Amino acid sequence: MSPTDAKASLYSARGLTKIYVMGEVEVPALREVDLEVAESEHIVLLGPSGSGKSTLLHMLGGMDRPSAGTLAFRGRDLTHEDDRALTLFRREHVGFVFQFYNLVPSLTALENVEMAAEIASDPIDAREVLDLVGLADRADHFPAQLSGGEQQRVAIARAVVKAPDVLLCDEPTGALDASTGILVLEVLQHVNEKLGTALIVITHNEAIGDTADRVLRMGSGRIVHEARNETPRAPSEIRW
Amino acid sequence: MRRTLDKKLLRNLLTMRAQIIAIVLIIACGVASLVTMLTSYSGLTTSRDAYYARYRMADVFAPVKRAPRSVLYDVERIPGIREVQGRIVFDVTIDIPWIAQPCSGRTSSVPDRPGRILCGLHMTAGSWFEGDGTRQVILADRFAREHRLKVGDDLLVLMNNKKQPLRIVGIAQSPEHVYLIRGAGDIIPDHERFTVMWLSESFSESVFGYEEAINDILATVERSANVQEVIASIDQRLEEYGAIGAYALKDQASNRYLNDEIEGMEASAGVVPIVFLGIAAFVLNVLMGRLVRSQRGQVAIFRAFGYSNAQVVAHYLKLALLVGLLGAIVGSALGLWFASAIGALYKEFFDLPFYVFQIDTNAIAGGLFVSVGFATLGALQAVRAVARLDPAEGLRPAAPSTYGRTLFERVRPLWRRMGFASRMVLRHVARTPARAAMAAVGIAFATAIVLFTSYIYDAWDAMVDTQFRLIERQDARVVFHEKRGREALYEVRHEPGVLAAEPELVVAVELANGPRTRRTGILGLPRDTELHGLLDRSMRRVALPEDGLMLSQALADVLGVVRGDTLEVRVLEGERPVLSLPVTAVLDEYLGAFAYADIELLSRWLDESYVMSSVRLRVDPHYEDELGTALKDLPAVAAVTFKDRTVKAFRDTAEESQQLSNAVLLFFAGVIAFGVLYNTARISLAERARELGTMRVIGCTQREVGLVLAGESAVLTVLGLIPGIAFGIWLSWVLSKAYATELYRFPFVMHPSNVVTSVCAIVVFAVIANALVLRRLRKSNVIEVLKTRE
Repeated sequence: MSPTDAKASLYSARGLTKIYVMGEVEVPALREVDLEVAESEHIVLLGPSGSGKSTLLHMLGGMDRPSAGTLAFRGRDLTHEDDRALTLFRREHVGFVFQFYNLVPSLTALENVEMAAEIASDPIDAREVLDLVGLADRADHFPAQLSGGEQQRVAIARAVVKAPDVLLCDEPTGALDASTGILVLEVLQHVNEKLGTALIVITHNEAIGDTADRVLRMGSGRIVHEARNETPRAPSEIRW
Repeated sequence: MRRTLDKKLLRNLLTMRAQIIAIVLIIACGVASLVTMLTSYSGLTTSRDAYYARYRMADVFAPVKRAPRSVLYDVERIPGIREVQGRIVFDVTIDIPWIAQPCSGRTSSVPDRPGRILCGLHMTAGSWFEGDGTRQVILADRFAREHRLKVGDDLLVLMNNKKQPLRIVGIAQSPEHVYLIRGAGDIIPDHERFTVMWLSESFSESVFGYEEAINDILATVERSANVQEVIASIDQRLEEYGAIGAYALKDQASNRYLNDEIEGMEASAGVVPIVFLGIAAFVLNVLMGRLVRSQRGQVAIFRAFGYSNAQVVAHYLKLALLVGLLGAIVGSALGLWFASAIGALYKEFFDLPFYVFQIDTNAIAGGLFVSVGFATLGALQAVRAVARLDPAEGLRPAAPSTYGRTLFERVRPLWRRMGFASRMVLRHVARTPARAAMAAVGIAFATAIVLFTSYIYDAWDAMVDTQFRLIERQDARVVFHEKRGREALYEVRHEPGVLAAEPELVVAVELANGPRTRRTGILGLPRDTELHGLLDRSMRRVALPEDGLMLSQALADVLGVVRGDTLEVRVLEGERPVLSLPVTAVLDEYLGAFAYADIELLSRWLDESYVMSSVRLRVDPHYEDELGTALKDLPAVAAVTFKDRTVKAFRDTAEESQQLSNAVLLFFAGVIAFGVLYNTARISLAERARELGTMRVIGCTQREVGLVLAGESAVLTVLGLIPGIAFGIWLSWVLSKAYATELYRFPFVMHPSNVVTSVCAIVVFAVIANALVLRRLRKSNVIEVLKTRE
């Protein structure tokens, strides 16, 4: 991977702040975060629960709006976009992968992927993507007929099929055993390398940080430490 | 601990209030229908009994031609008779200056001085007569109100060929005339043109030349007496005075219509609320179950905390109990409110001085039982299944529900063309067929109710159309005081605007088929009548037989005869012959219970060659007023009725009595359709929150997500509409066959436009329900669901 500064900027956040108002209490989830993400960059977000990593991910994905600060995507200001615009932003540019897969249970693996493809403007072929995640032969299975790892790979395929600019993954391996987790990470890295999709992964698992270009450590709503991997490792090489 | 759970229960109720309200309303409608009908039934029955008792309604009525007043002493001695009263009754013509036609009235004599009399008067204004009551009248309240006549006004009355003004001294109501019609041929009261009124005995004697004489006897009988035997004795005693036969209260026209209504209500009170309550209970059962099932996660938390299975079950039973209780309370309140509105209608319709509104505690208890019972049952079934789950199982995000391929997918070209939203909807519906079926059944009920309601409107229309266009083809009818010969026909033909005239003759008879008897009038018509259509079952015109009777369906049912049977006809006039005549046809008439025969045959029974009691006319509409005015001055004319006005009176009456119940029916249908769809969509929204949230995250718009929810509603609606239409048609057909009083029966008509209207109505309910859920979907950020679990 080439160094970040040599690449164009994908995200640019300045003083990003999010305060949740819970009844009468104000809970700051994110405090004045500055962050630059380059095109095709692979970032891992580490940190304890409540450190603000999910909030940051939601903000980047257009699922939430900041309370203060600015957030730009390829120079486009996302801070003040309305719900409709954010929906279109997610549709065109962002792929999400969750810890609990969240497949639509009434659609087959292929249809889950097609669903995302149908609403995208320039999608990749759904079968091709299923092949990419190694599930071509499971295309016609319903989620209930798939293992956890398989479901997560379908979820990745669903996120990837619309050829997003960034994949946002919230604990993608959290519910999986080691070998399945590695398989999923390999798929993610494969997508990152093959399609040039930026990859931002939240995890509790320190070891996964070794696979990224950059590791951001969060605490109390701030980025408290940043490290760059000059030679990221393959998922199969890391110790779980 | 328990208090915390109760707090949760209360908050649950608050957060689910929209769903709870929908469920409560459904069961409330069922309870309301029960309470309304039973309360109205007991209210009208009690009102009738109290009115009759307080104003001493007679048990037997015995009209004669003319008898000396002294005959009352003989009648009083008949065993079983308790009290006897004589009076002078005459039909008169009233000239109301602002009405172009003559109005008719019936005067009855009452004692000069007030006292305890049979068929007493309830005075609403003014007082009894002054002095001997000469040229004074007590007028019926209804007529006075109709024409805004007050005490002190004069009424121009043609009595015994002399027109004279009578001073109104009092205004009254009488138990004898709760349903005021002229006689056998009339069905609907014409309050504008017909009234009863009361004159003093002295004045009646002098004006009609009936000194120390009477022509009508009222009597009450001992409780233990056999009324039929008493009547036979009275008839025997009065025969020499031209008695046309005494009759009991049950055969008195006004009382018969009132009793008809009470019996009709008794019959429907046994069926309608049970159907409604059944539907409501069913829907309640289903919805409560689903409500509890949607609380899966919470149940798991209770169990994880160490609450026992029984405690969790008890908690949800409390919820069900509350819902059932609320439903019963709201339903009872609603029912009592409807019943009081119906009571007010009855008071007006049956001209009652008071209406006894009684709360039927049995109805309320029954409603409570059903409401709480089914709510509990529905909740119990669901909560037991949910409580059986291991706590950990319930706390884990639900495993992806198992879906399979549906039948639709066999049609590959069609399936391929469907978007993912349609596929999700179809698979979801197909995955839970029992649930879909239940929702569809609810919609089907609602559709059927709407269709049935519109059927009732159409049935009334068809009834009116058949009766007043096809059967009664005249424009006007002129009724004479006395029977008249052919000359009357020629006389009337020369009046202004008369295009055609046909005679008719009503002869009082008693028809008997073994033990079944019915006192009625046979209507005699010319055999080639143009102004009356006699229609058989297939609506073909049939000709009058030379020697036989035709009966309307209602009368045939009362007597238990069919075409070809023979009836004994006891003529109650003239020489009172008794004949045996065949029934040559049963006519498909929807209004009234009539018998028809050849006018010449009837005349012969009276030892006349050709007589008539009234004339039917076809009238040039431009001359209506002129004709009416001319007839006002003919002493022989007792009344003139124009058909248009009768039709209007009929429609008004029908509308008055139908509007309320139809509004209630439509409300009920709306509540069911809305309640079922709203709850289905809300529960879907709750159960599929993660799925819908994911769709939003992927980039689906609110609209696209809403489409999945609305699509499910749409499919369920369509699934319900189809059997609902069939059910509604069947229900209408059953009513047309099963519901028949002597006053009317319903024809079966079903216009395609009704089906369209009903479908539209249900679709509107569905759209409203979905709009509310979609609004909720927009307001609640479904993405939040995905954020919370990490």
